[in-house]
Amino acid sequence: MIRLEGISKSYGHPPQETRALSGIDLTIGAGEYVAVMGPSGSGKSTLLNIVGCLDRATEGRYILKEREVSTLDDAALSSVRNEVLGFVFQQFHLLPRLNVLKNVILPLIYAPKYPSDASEMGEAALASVGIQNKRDARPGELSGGQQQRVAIARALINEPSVILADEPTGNLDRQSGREVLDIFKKLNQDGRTVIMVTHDPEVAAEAQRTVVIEDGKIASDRGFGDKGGGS
Amino acid sequence: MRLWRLGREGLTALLSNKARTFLMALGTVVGIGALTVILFISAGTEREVAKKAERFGARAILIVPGHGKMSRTVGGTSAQVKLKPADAKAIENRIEGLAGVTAASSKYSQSVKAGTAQSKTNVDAVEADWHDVWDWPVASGRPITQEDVDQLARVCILGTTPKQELFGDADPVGEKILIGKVWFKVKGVLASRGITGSGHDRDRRVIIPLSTGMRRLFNQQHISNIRVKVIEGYDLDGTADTIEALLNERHHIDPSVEHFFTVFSTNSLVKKFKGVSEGVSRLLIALCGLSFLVGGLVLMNIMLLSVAERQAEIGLRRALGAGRRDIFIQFLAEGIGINGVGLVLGWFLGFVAAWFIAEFTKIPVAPSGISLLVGGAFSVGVGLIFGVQPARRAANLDPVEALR
Repeated sequence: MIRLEGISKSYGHPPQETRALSGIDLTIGAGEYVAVMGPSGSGKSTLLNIVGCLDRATEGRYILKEREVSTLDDAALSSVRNEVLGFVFQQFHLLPRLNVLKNVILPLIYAPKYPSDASEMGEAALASVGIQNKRDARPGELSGGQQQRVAIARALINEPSVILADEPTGNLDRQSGREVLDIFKKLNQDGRTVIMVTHDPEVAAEAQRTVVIEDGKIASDRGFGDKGGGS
Repeated sequence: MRLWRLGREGLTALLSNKARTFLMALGTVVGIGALTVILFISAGTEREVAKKAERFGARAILIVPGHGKMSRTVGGTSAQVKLKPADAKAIENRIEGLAGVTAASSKYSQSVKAGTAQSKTNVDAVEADWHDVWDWPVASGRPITQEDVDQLARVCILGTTPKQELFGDADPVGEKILIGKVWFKVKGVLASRGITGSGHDRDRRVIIPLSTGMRRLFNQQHISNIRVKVIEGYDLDGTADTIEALLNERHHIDPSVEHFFTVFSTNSLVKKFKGVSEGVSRLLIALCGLSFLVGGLVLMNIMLLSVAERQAEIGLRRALGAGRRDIFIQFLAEGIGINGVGLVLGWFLGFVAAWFIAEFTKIPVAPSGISLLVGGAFSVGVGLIFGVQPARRAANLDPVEALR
């Protein structure tokens, strides 16, 4: 599903150059549930942004679904984000002026063809995360846990193969965090690849595989090739 | 269609903050309002000028003695100069390119009677070609003829107002009326010309042969005006100048010191008339240009602020699959949409202002369909020009930075 070969990322120009990632080789198979851990500034977010096609590597190759994406232009990369990837953020990033349903179907605007049954699709996505009764509410009227579930429904609307989550429980209380993690688990059981950045070992324990990044390099990769097992 | 969906994204953002949208649109509102008024005034002036020219005669020159500076005294003696029938003859013989020259002698407010009915009316003593040169035919009966003039005939043609006041709806042709102390036989009725803009009833007149008027009725040697019709293709203003020079020469007048004749041409009337509305229009054009500029700059700066404010939204949209181009289109549509709001409000403002002008001033105003088109083009243009910069900034935001 995902293959990174010698991925490096640096900022600035040689004398003051800072290296966020150096020579990352990483392969993630379809249907895996991977937690990416590491101290802040380790480069784990940069890695997620590159995997999410929001950022480009300075060096190396990135193959997503048998397609080399490191060389694609902005429009093509945007289509990849729209059709193959689903994002979930720590701050939810819902648009406050739109109601829940409109937030959920927002990605469809950027799809190659706008479906005629967008509302039904949105309702189905809301139902799959258990908050179909909130479709007309504004994001501001919802609890954090509910907002994150709306954001997950939005990530699911285009049927992505890969879900990318950046500290999805970071702004939630324990109970809500638990519920959100259960949803991710279910999504993974349904066959979706889930990649989640977290600094919380308890959250990481949900995943079958944990990749630890330190100083821009992979420090450890537990559970690799051991799909069934967990830690 | 993707473009329409993206455009709509931009427009929904406008509705979510109506006060800000209105503020951004304000410059366009004033600009379009001023533009609409300008075009309405221009259309009104155009219409009024056409009406005036039609009434005065499209290629006509009118010479009247004095006018304004008439009673000015020179060297202690009254220097009033009188037009003579010979002046008309001189114009006819010495000036090129004339289709007709006709002299008339007029008296205002003469009392006329028919039986017990009476009326006050202008009396114009005219030559036979008066009907042709003034483009003023009879509606019934017959016009003044050369024979009438040659024979000092006591015949008259009635304007519709005295005709109505003396005879009501009855046919006056063949009846007799008393003008002053002289009996005239009615031979016809003039076509109706209605009331002028300044309230003067042009149909309140009776016309009689020039010779009859000068010798039998008014007992005077001078005439009141000479009207000239210029052949198509000859320069109207140039001809008017030549006529003025000829008259000055005949009456030994130094034009650098005094003017004893006023020579009106259609052009001079139109110029005088257009002068007023052009002054107003020029002021409004300045206002219009200024408000578009200020409005555009306000639009641009508030939109730049709003791009900064909505970084997270832009980053999110990029993550969800929006390309740079999609973001650019969305923000550009927002800029154009704001100006669309300004356009509609501006039209409204313009209509209201035009109504006030029409109601409370003498400046002519007429609705103009072109103003809708021109206004639309201007507002979209301003939206495009000043919306590009913010839209480009939004499109070029790094999504990773924007989401942070």
